[in-house]
Amino acid sequence: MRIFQNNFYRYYQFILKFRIPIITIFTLIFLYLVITMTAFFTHNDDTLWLKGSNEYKKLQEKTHKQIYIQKLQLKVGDKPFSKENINNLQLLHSNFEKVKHIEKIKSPLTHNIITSSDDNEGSSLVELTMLYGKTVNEISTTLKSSFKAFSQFYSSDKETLYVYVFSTEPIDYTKVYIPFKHKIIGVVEKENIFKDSILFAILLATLFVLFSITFRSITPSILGTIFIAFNSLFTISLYQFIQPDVPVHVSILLVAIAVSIMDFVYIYYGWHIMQQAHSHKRSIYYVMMKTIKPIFWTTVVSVVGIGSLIFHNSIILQSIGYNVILSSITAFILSFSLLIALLSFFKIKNPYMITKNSSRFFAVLEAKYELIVLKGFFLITIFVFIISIVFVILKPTSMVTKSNNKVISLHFPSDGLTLEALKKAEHFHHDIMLKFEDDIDDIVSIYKYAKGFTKAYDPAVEFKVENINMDFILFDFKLYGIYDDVVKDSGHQMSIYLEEDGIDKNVILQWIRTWDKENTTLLDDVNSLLNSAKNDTINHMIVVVIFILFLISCVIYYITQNKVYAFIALIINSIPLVWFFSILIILQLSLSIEILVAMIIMIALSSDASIHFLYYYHRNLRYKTSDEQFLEHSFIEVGTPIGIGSTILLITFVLLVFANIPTISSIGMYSVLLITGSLIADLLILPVLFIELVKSKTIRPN
Amino acid sequence: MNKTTFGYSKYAILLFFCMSSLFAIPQTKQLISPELTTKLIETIKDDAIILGSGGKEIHIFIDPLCKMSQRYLKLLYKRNNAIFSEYTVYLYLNELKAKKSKKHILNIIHSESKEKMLCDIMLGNQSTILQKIRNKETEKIFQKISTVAKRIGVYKRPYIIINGKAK
Repeated sequence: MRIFQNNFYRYYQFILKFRIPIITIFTLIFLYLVITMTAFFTHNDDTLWLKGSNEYKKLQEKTHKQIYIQKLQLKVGDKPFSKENINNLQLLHSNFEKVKHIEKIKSPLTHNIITSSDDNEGSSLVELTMLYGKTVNEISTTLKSSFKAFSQFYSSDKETLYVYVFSTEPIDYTKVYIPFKHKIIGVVEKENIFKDSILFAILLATLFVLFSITFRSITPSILGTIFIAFNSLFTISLYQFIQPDVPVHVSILLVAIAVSIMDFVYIYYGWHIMQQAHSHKRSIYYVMMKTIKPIFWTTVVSVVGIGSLIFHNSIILQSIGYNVILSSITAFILSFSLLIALLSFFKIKNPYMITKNSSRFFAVLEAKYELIVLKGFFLITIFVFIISIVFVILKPTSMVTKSNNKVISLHFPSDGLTLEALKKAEHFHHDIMLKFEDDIDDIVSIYKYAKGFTKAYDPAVEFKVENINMDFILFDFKLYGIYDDVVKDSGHQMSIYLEEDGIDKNVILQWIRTWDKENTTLLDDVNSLLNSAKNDTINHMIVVVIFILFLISCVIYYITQNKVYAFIALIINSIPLVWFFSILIILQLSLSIEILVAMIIMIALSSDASIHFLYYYHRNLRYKTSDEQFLEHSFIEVGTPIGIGSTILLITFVLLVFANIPTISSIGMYSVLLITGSLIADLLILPVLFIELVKSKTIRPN
Repeated sequence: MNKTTFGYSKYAILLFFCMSSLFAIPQTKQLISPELTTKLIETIKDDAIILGSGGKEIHIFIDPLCKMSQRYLKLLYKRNNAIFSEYTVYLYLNELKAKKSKKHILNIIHSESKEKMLCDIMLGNQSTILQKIRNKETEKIFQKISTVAKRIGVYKRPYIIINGKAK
């Protein structure tokens, strides 16, 4: 009995011998961590995106503070200049003026216009005027008669009014009375420990029920809940220990749960069905032997592949990387220590096998596959892939399009309001207008005002920056209160207001970032900083995804020593990704932590499934066995835990879609989409591809 | 004969004025150099109404009855924190013929509290009761400012000078 004369068996005996101390130690650690847990989950990924981003780092080096700009879209109906609308706009202003941290409001009321007045009796004056403080009638008349000067604040049908709010901190707009029907983009999600606890409790309760239904026993529910709770808490605690200053995003919890569910299901399911033929304790040993190799390699793929994200500057990618590493390693350790120790206390009489009939049904169906359907599917996938690639090459920034906050704020370091600063601003104005004239509504800068004043004083004289009288400009800026608006921290500010239906903001952002060869221009509004940070991660994410695909193929090749197996793994894992990317591009969905987390969960699941399936096929390939039988056995042994694990995750994530927490709902939605794609690829395409490329070509020995 | 010559010359002068108005060059903002402007300004600085105590000097010719000057003064007071700490504003009262404000100017110059009187006339809602000023010293100041203004080329109100250069 060589099978019982190895180190692995001795390890199994050790676990069983010390099962009570093992469970006690882990339980004590768990209880200690529960008591000392201080982590609050953050629902707002903005801070995480900003930390480590290149543009944000530049801003911090210059000790210049970021600003928040919120574009409000207010419905004003078909009478935009009515008394009621003007009154409401004035009320909105007065409501915002009471809110702490709001620095300025840009609306038709505060829009600056340089005018020149002359009474032909020797009195003349060039001044900066605004509608703020004027009577309702005056405002209404001016808006009607000089609409062109204010058109940037109205949609083309004049039914929507745009108001921009500048603040030093994020503002909770739900607490401000806005007397219009309105739309606010990107409202900050509040942390709520009560909501998070309820969510986690519901999640565990759902898993508890689903395990009971699947296995017709309460044992997997108890063990699964314990295993998932232990793994989640250990992962989060370890992450807090490694990165104490980085907030834990609520989605990290979901990554930890997803990783632990799969490891648990593989081991528990194996042990469960094994008891049809073996004792419960012998089943533990057999299942350990069967699963340790694929689980080890899936852990390696997760740790090395997804874990490579820790080398990116972005804190958000780092946190995903660290958490996948920690949850995978923790799940591996707990699977072959705590879970084994726990299983030894349980015994299943007449183990229920949920997929006994369905495995046969699918095996028969897939064994009689039509080659033309398979080829057609791959042709469509390749076509979709090429279209997606072409689209990404032609319009690379569409991946990060999100906000309707079509405003960009820039800071140009300078020695205050100088001629040099004006020249740089003029250069920028000239270049950006040359490139994006139709996409820009207005640029508010020192150059705009300096040019406006100079031309108003001498309309007949050709405007040249060199001829500007800086003493007068400086005095006018101070007199009309625009100095503090456009000159800050010794540098000068520039606000670019983009056309609502114009080009993607990210295209302009990328142009701005490459325009300044000296790399001194700073983006200082949070929305633009976030867009840039996300944009910077795209290339890295693509590299990581390709690396993971390559890694899975390498692992499969290492296990099987067969190139075709590696090729199948590569194809199967690529399919859901290709379809997912094309859906993202078609629906113009923006890259966010929700999508990244969903992708990571999917890659982890998909690589798990491919490694388990192909490892099984490699070990059990017999030329004598019919395709139907072969597939049926693979579905019972491997397909079922993959199906159970994925379905449980799928149901859990469907429930999350209905959770009243936007981040969680989004992760739920994307994960459902991706897990479904991954499940289809693993259960329907992988077996057929294996039959086609490997089994049908297996040579019978003479 | 003489009568006829006079008759032609009258038309010739009229024609000259018409022609000169056709080819008129834009009004010159400043008739003298910045250096000379600064020197001239120094001669009337003591007669100015001074606002603020900042390091930079700004000289403004205003007419108390000129609406634009009134708006400008209002703005100066509105932004007083930003302006008066950085600039010293010298206000020179200089009449615009069309405004007929000499009486007002003399009253302000003659007043013990010039700034208060200035504000009463230029920014106050109620009409200020004016006196008939027959003080030679006051008249002299009025004339002195007018002469300097003419030499500089002050053609509008408010007329602003910084570092000898006019706006």
